[in-house]
Amino acid sequence: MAAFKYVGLSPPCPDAFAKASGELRYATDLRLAGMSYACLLTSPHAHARIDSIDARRALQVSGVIGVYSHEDAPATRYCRYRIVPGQAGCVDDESLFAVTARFVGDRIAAVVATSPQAAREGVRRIEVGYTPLPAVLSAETALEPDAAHIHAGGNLLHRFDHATGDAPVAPADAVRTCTRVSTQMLHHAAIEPHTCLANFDASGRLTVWSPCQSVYGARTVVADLLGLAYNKVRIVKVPMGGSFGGKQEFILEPVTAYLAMRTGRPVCLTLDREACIRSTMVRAQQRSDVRSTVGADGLILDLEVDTLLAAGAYASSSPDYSEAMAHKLTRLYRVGRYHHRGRVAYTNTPVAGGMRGWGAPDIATCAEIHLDQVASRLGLDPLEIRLRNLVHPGDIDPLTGHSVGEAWVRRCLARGAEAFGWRERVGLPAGTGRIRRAVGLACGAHKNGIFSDAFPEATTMTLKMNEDGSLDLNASIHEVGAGSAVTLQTIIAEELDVAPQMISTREADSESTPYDFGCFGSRLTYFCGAAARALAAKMRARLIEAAAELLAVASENLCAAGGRVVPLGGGDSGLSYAQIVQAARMRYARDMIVTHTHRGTSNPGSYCVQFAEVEVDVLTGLVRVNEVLTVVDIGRAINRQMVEGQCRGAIQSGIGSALCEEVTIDGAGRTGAGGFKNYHLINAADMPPVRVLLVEHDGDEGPYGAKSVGEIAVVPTAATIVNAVNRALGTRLATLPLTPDRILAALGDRAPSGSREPACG
Amino acid sequence: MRLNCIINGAAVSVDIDADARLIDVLRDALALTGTKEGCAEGECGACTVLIDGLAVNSCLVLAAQVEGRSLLTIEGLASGDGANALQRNFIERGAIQCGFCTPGMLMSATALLMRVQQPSREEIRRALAGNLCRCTGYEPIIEAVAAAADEMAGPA
Amino acid sequence: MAALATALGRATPASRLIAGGTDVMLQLRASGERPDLLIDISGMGELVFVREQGGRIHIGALTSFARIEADGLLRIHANCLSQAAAHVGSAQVRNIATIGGNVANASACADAIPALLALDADLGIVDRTGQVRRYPLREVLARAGGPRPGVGEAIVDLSFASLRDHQRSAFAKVGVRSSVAVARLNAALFVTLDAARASIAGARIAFGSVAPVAFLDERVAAGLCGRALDEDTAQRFADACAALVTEAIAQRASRPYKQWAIRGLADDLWNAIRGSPTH
Ligand code: FES
Ligand code: FES
Repeated sequence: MAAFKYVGLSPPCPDAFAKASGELRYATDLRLAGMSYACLLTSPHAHARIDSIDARRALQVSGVIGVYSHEDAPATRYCRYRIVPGQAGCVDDESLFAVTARFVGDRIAAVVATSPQAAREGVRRIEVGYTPLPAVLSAETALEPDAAHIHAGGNLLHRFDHATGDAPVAPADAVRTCTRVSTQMLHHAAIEPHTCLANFDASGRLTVWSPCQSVYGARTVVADLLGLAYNKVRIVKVPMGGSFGGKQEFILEPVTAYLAMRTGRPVCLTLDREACIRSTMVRAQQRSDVRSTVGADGLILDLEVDTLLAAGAYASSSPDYSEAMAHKLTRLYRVGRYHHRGRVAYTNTPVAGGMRGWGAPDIATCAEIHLDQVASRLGLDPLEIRLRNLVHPGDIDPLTGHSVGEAWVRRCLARGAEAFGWRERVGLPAGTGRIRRAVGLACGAHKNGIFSDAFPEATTMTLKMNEDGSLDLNASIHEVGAGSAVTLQTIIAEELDVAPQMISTREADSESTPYDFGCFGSRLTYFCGAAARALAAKMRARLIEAAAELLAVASENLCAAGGRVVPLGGGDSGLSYAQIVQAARMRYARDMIVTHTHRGTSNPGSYCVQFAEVEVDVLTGLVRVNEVLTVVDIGRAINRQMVEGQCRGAIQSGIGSALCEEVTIDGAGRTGAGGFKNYHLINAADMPPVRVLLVEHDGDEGPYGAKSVGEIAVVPTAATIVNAVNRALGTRLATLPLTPDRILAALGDRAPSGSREPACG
Repeated sequence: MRLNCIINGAAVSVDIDADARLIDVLRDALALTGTKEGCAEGECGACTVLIDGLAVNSCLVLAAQVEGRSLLTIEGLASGDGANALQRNFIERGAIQCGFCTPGMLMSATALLMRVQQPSREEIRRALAGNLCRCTGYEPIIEAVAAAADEMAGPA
Repeated sequence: MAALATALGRATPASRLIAGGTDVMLQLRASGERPDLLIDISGMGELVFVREQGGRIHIGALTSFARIEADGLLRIHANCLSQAAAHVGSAQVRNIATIGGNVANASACADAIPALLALDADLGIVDRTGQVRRYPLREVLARAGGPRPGVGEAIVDLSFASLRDHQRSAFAKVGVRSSVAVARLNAALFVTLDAARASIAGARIAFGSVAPVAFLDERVAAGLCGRALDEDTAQRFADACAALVTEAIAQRASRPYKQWAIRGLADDLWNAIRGSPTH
């Protein structure tokens, strides 16, 4: 393993003090002269025709500037998820304001006023005439032949059928098992609510300040919708108080931009928590039937998955998201045959979209709960069945034909089992009293960036060195709070051997930072990090080349070290970077600036294995997670503290999805009232201690071997917890979340009809 | 109506609506935008400020209720231009990711350390249970509070 | 106090009284309602106290849950109330929310109410004439419809008998989280032991979150009387609680859960009663 000077250390993010002192300005903290505030009126009906909108009483409210709805807004349909024009898989089915309300929370109208209070009051006074239509609230009912159509083309939004391999002839002692696993709608729950600010100035230029994950993606969607040239639309990424995928799609940017254009004033739109839960997007509700044939030796001969996913009222990313679910298991396990069928249905429920892990936690939850059931039928240790099937480095994913790369998941499992004491603890009795205790484990696979045969992976960055040797990185960074900036700083620092603090970074601004797709798809460290490394290498070559000319020596005899270019054999006759920059400019009129467009050609697997111990109170059904161990095939930790931070945060989210987080809807399609009062995040009191183990190695295209972490870290968590609970109770719970109600129902014959674990369809 | 109170050590006098929430007066009338709003329902703690040394949700308090009282907000935490012990430990120990929960966390932690000099991990967890964080998994925050407490207590 | 009576005199059904404000602020924001009069009593320091007087404990209506939780006198005389206070919301909410506000708002899951019922508390309510009258809490809660206290009234204090020898109380709760969670079930138990401290001479038990308002149940309490502090009684107690909850929430979707989970609370209450140090 090479020795590093900066890689693997933990310098804080450049903006940490600004955050700790309250100085950092998030979108809701920005104040522009003449700023006005928007408030949305959303549908109280799951499905309804809008017959009339009477805004007269709203317009009488002092401070109200205007009321806007489909009656005056463009009817153009767009896809909030689209990153590039013409992107395959994007369905244009959403408009600024609904003509037909398709879920409780659908945008009907907006009021712009001089104060948030007046805007809210205006919204209360709009009178809308609705004719309720039959609503379909689940994917199952949506696909029934007589179901009401949510969009003109019917409710089946997308379907796929991916198969690879031939099932070997199953020996007589092979077991066939089927498990139906359901995962619930989740709220991303960034603590910063959804917010956006826009201004349309007198020169006809639109500026949008948004805590978004893709300024260029937002630009194409907003500009196309409003009929503006791309260079008349400027999207500025502002500090973001968390996203987890919830701010990846362009939910508020189009409507806020439209309102700014219509009013000619800066408009700020901020949703309250209830609206964030109901009217932005959720992780999809889905259920998968997982069927396997597994030999007595534990080898998976055949794995079939049938997924039904509820897209909600608009397509958003659901078609692609469902496809992503089909592309995880073959990079995790060697299976004889894999067959995944999927259907995605429109439903009159909140819009489903991308969330941390993008399909990987969903499918891992299904497969890993299933695998524990198989192991128990075979009398195998859950650890053992996984060790027998996990991929090896260099395996080819049979679905894509691409290598899984340096897939060190087996090492993760082995090291984790050792550190957790799995073999000693797995056999311990759960107890017979009120509190039952047991351990569980699960594995997960995800990806590194967006390279595939169907989508390119590329980014452009510019690095400029100043006369004092300091550097400015110009790249479209979308800091989500996970340390993008400090990661890129560290890589460049390592490559040029300068302190990370010498490198300034800035956030994405479509007017002035170079093109990048955005911060999603686990591409930042693995791919953008590689780009930054190549960029820095270019700068180093340019510095050496200039120094060679200045010193009149051959560049092969020079190297960069300690912020200087020096002769290879040592000696002090070199030049500092500052001297080179100054001299190159004055003598050769040459600037030390490099631009690099990087192209990705691989997408290896990222892996995570988790272990947990839980205690279940069989009287109240409450689960307490005592401890979690997470092991990540990180390749290389660029910033150890940030990597660990991603791991810990992911566990908080994953435990919530296993036990208590759920966006519930009632029989009329309404989400529960209240925001965080009814959507329960794990808090500090219930958060268990988490140990993080990182498996490091070289290889792949990531910088110094680094792979992604933010998404993979959450992939196995829910399954780990569920498996531990099932082991503690001897149950086969597979409908998430494992609420106390579900746990008690599973424990006895006290189940009201319908609450038993459903069988495979 | 007129509100008179002390904020971060300075006397403040400001016109408010009788039904204005404290958070709105702080953020809008006084431009103290370090106090964040994450839920407006007393659940997330991002809006935490100290009234006479007690942590409260500024989204649940009427501005009028702080008449004559002394407030501390995140803007009043740093000593001069530098981070105080809590802030520094938050920064150094990875307790800050997106930072949106951070002001509220720091204020709850400040209130705790004003009351208890060397709180146990359990006391810290309980004191921070009303501050939600989606990024860090809490542990670095808890460790930062404990470390700051140790530091402030000085060598035993 | 005189100022309060004057303000109460101007109150209409559209007026709102602010004690701590935690509940009222949310209600106002959700409804968009703008009261004609906001009577902010939160600054009335004279309504913040805990004291023993004439064999009774008196708590000022504006005493915060943080104060109640920390109060030494209450730890001795009203363990169930200390525990309930500790279970109210977050540290921030406990600093603002007041016991008077909790009782006045009387939500189904308010944590203080079962504890106060078990303690057989009464309320001092002031009206617009400035006169304070006392009402047993259980009767106030039973007043049909309308806000409690009524228009032009405010709670000024609560009181209950000081704990005598051989008396104990406990509070138990189950929510979605171990802390900062609205109660899905809460209950408080108050018992008087016989002289030998071996059996139960008298009991009061109150249940929250199973009906629109918390209530005392005589039958479950009566079932404990004369019983020894043993496993058999524990079992009967749990069965009686479960039967009561089953009956009380006959139609609700949460019944299957609550009728079982109440056994967990019964177990907690029982262990606390058995384990708590005698006075
Ligand atoms: S904004 Fe006040 S607690 Fe969330
Ligand atoms: S750091 Fe993002 S919510 Fe806590």
